[in-house]
Amino acid sequence: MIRENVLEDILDTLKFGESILIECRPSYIPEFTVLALTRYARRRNLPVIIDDNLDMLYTIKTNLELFGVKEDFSDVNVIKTGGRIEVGNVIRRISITEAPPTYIQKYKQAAQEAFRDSDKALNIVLGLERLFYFVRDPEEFYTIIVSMQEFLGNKSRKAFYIIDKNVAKRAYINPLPEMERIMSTVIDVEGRGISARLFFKKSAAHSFRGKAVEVTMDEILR
Amino acid sequence: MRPATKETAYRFLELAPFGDIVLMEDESPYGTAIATYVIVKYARETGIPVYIDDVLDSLSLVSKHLKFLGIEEDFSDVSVIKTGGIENVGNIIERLPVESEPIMYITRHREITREILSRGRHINIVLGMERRFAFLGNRREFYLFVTYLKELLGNRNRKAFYILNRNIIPGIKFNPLPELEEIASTVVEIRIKDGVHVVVPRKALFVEIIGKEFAGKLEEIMRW
Repeated sequence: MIRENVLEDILDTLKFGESILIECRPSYIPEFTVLALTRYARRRNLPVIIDDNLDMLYTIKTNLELFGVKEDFSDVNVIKTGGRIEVGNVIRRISITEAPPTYIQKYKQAAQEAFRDSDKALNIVLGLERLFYFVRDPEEFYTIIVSMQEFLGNKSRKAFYIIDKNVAKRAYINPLPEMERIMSTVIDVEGRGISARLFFKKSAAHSFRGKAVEVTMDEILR
Repeated sequence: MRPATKETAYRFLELAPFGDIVLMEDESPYGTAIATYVIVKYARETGIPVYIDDVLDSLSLVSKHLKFLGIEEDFSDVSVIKTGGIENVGNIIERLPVESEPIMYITRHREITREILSRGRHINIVLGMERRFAFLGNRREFYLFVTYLKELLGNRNRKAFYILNRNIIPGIKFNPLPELEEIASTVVEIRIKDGVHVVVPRKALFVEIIGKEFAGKLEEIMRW
């Protein structure tokens, strides 16, 4: 099923307050998803806040250049957790040398301040699966899960968690099952040459439930 | 497959005897939220008070998910025993730390449960029990919990529904499902088939329903 602006339709239908899980495998899906979301937000005059865990945004920016896409994310606010290479407008830095409960507290504060500045924002979360590599016990694990639940339903943002399934699975405690349970929408994205197949594993919207749509690279680059 | 009616669902809830445990193993999107909604609605309409065991904000998650489905439900008339978590939903009558030592946890939980059930018949919904089990460190702690769950079995003032998320189980060190399936009088699975939620009894007092699929369309259930 290929339609004009199918992606635009999807992004408009997803509501503020939603947490959307985007599951992918090793591919350029994260790069093109971030690009698509950023461009969509600009067209809609929505500010973008990226949670950049462990330098993921740098990888994305560099890989996009390989495709001839110059994107410096200078108009994007970034909350940076761990990592060293700054991309975009970094408004907060959180060190992960502390125990998860401590940096989650700091993250919450940073995120609440960032969302407060704008009425509504698009939130893109990158590299969270890698943060789970630092989590060793159920107490730390559920501290993160509970705070993720707390953000669900927060109407000041529409949040997209882009997760590499293969990386998530190798964490000491795989976060995917709990994340799939929490999120209001779960989309499995699979690369197919110059297009991607989006399968809605979970959705509150009747029109998406169990459906699959195809989005082309062209549609994003246009 | 004809969708099950409200009457069929209510009859199923009615037939589960007091003193028994119904185990619901959910692997579907939004299944736990819908099941909780239907049980609470049934209890209200039949005048039976409800208390919910809420582990790590599982009730808040249910309430948020229902909102996405277009249902406003704050559970304000439901008593809640809250284990861990930070978001308060319902009428919280007791708070227990999730990481507390099993004997202390069970002792306090037993006291509060006795207090509730001494006031008469109740429907009990347990949400997020698998998360509590995830905190157990060894077999001894595991069997302390299993023994406690057995102790609650047979209390004529309690009809219990344990709604567990099946997808979480593989990540838990001590899988509680085999023991729970043994203890429960009825075991049902909630899953998706052909894009529709189905409830499939796997163990039941009424053997004729075992393996049958009871389908429910979200849009219809929301109008019940």
